[in-house]
Amino acid sequence: MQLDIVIAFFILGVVVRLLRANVQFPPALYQSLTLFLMLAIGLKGGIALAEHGTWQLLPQSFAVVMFGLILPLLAFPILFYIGQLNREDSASIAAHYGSVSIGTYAVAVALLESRGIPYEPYFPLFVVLLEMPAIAIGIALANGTNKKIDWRKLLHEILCNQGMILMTGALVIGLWAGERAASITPLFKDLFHGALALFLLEMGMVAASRLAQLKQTASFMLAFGIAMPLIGGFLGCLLGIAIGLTTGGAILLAVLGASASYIAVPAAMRVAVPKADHGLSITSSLGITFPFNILVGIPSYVLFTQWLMA
Amino acid sequence: MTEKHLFFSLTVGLVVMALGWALLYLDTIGWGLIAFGVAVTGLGITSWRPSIKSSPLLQSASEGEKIDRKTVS
Repeated sequence: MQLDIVIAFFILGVVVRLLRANVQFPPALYQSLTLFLMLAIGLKGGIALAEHGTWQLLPQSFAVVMFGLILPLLAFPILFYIGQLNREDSASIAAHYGSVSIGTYAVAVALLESRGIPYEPYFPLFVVLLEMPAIAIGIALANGTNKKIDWRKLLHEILCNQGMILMTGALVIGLWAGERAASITPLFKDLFHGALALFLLEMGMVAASRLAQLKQTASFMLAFGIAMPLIGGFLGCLLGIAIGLTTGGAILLAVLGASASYIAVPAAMRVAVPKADHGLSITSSLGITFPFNILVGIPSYVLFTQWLMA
Repeated sequence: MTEKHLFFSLTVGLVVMALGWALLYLDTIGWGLIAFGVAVTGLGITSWRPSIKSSPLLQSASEGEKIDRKTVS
């Protein structure tokens, strides 16, 4: 299997950090690229939804939300009973693994497009839907010991975090504008792969620097950070086939099941579960699961789904 | 690192290696999975230290050390 060009930029980022080369990525540029990717994905989904939106989406959306509720419930016992982490840490990490990573999704979309594998163009709707349920389950799991939650602040974090608000906003704009959005698509469509390459360069540097922070739980977290995406990816693939998605759609649902959030959930968990070790969650999702999915996971889910649907 | 962690690391590592080996029939990406499986297994084994409870030898050594300290004090 040929390495996708955007993934080569991720490897470059890892190499840069391992060699301790003096490469500085401006934080403002990283923020801008994140915003760009979220808007581009949301807008593309909204335009597609305007063209292809049917009532058939309702049962599919319901199944996707249920999937988002189940994933953290699978992750929690592994972390709590086998990993022997405390309740707050287990719940927080489980919420991260139940939610989705926009960066991983963007790489999967780029890979499908470069190989000409068709997928449901309204898929960003499912990305938005999968963001929230895991946060609710994570809070419920952590609630055993932490009952003082500022619900107003928490709801604000869940519904108004940058991923949620920008993707939903762009989805609604795309849905409303439909074909009229053609005037801005050169920016959001044609530059998508280039922006993704730059984003992955920075992510490669961040992932490599995060690994050193795992300390004594390193071996368990490494095993968990690889096992969980394989479980989520396998279930996502099966669910995609069960709800009648195309091969590309099933691959994307596998990728969403396999990915772990590092933007939306950390912000919500800081408010909801302040006692949890947030460094551990983000290091696991960004330092282990993100590189695993980018380098090996996504191509494996593609092969597995194609083999299963052949 | 506890015995549970070691067991989990070994199980995940071996399963990932087996998946990689199976995937080699379809594509060379299987080598990537095998590499991750080796890393998980290797890190699991190298970071494991037998806990005092699980090892009678260490337990008796620890008790001996306590007695020695008492004698010295």
